[in-house]
Parts: sequence; structure tokens; C-alpha cells
Amino acid sequence: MKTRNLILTAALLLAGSWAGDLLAQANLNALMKKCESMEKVSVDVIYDKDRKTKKPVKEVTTITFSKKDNPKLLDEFLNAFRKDKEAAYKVIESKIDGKVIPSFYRFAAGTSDISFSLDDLNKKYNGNEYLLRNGEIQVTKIERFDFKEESEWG
Amino acid sequence: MKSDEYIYIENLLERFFEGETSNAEEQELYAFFARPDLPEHLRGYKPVFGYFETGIAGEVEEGRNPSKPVRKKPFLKRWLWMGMAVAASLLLFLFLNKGDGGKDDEFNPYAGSYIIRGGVKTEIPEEVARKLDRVIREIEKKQYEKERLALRSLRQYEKTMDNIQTKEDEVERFESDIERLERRYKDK
Repeated sequence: MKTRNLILTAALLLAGSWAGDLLAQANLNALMKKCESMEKVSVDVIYDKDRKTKKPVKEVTTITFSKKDNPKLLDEFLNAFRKDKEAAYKVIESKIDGKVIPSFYRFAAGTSDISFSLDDLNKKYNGNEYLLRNGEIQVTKIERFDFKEESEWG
Repeated sequence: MKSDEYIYIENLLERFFEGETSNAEEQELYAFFARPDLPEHLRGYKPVFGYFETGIAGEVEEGRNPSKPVRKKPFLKRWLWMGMAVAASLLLFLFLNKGDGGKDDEFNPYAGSYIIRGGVKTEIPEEVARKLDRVIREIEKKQYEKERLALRSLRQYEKTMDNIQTKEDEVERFESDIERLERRYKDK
């Protein structure tokens, strides 16, 4: 009886942690999915597979929009970032015009590592109509499969 | 009444079974007993001369053309053929697998990539995805820079805090040295 209860508890804990990974970026994932059906939002999804193993190495999703065409979308993203912040193991924020804006969030999801970043392209490509043709706000999600933590300082 | 011929054949028969007949006389006997119309008292000898004619003829033929002996294949030759068969199979296998190596060139690491514009999804070909890959690397580099800068600030902060702690420790040591010197001076 005790053994059965122990096994059941362990199973529930495992299931919970797995579910937790899935829910980690639930708000951001849901919003990015919603963007795919929006008229004035550009979405680029690039898969990258290893040539030798044929296994997926990473998936990069880029969402670009302009504040003028989607006045509420930026706030929706800020909201989603705020809701998912707790689950992120790395959070970088910046203060712009007295407002704290998420810049870079990083999540662990099983063997994958998922990072989200929010950029105002105007700061980099100010006035460049070609590069800003799809909009000036860009949200990028990079999911790295079978990610192994490496030293990032060389 | 027996004919003279039959008497002559009977004399030959007697000498044949004694082993005294010449080849010519034996040939006469074979020829006589090969006839279809033989007298009744001599018909019993027909099978004997039939065997002798065919049996001896067969033995003579064998003597002239002896059957070739069964030659066993030499041990080395058998293994040589087996080795050649294995080598041929291996070459064929390598040749076929070489064809598979070519398939690597057809492999598209960006398969499945797509863009969405105005709610419309379009799969992009490999060459376009390859160009976008350059953009992606820029994005990754940007993310990496964000992390690096953020952590650099954090490290600078930590370094500053370490320096402050070191200075505080030095100040404590100075203060304790000063106290010791003061006590010594007072004692004097």
C-alpha cells in the first residue's frame, strides 16, 4: 500500500514537472500562434536540421508587426511576457521611457531550450523603409532541441 | 537328316567351349546364331552367342575409350572462386551504397520552413531559407549579445562588490593594527 502510494506520488510529481515545462511559455506560445492568422502581422518560421543525423536542431519563429497597424498587439506581448516571467530561468529587461520592457527571456522545456526576445527595430534601422517594411516591432522565438548548456564566454 | 552345315556348326561349338576356335571360326558361329531361322536343336545356344557378341563387344569398347576418372576440384581453386564471389559482392554493395551518399546532397536542412503574410502560409524553397538563415544568425547573435551585456553588468557589479569587500577587510586590518599600536603606546 505504502509502495503504491510512493510510486503514485513520484508519477504525479514527474507528470507535474513535465506539464510545468509545457505551461512555461504558454501565454507567449499562444499569442505567437494567434499572430499566424492576423492580417497585418508577418511570421517567418525556419527549421534547421542536422545534416548528419537528420534531426531538428532548432526552430526559429520571427513575428514582425508595426504599432500603427496593430496598436494593441505590443501590449498583448508585454502582458504575455509578464505572465510567463516566473517560469523563465533567465530574464533581461530594459527601461525605455520610464517603462520596463522585457528584452530577453529564456526557458527550459525538457531537453529543449527556448528563448524569446523583443526588439524595437527602429533603434537599429531607423528610417530604413526596406528593413522596416514589415513593421518595427519584432518578437523572436528560438527553440534549440537537445540543448546542452555551454560556456558562453568562450 | 542333319545337314552338313549343322554338323560343321556342332563341331565348331564343341571346339568353342573347349577354347580351341580361332577368331574367324567364332565369327562364323556369331553369324550362324544371328539367323532368325535356326534348327530346333541349336536354338538353345543363341542367347550364348548373343551375350558373347554384345558383352565382349561392350568390353572391347570400354577398353578403347576408358571412362574419364572423376577429378576432384583442388582445394585451393574452390577457395579462390569463393573469394572472388565475396569480393564481387562487396564491390556491388559499395557501388550501391555510393548511390545513397549522393542523397546527402539532396538533403534540405530547412525542409518545412514557411512564411505567413496576410494570414496566407507559403512554404519557402531551400535557397530562400538559406538566405533567411543568415538573418537568423544575426538574430541569434543579437540575443547572445543581450545576454552577454546583461551578464557583463552583473559581473561588473559582482566585481565591484568584491572590491568593496576587500577594501572593507583592509580597513578592518588597519583599524586593528592601529588599536594594537595604541595599546602598546599606552602601556609604555
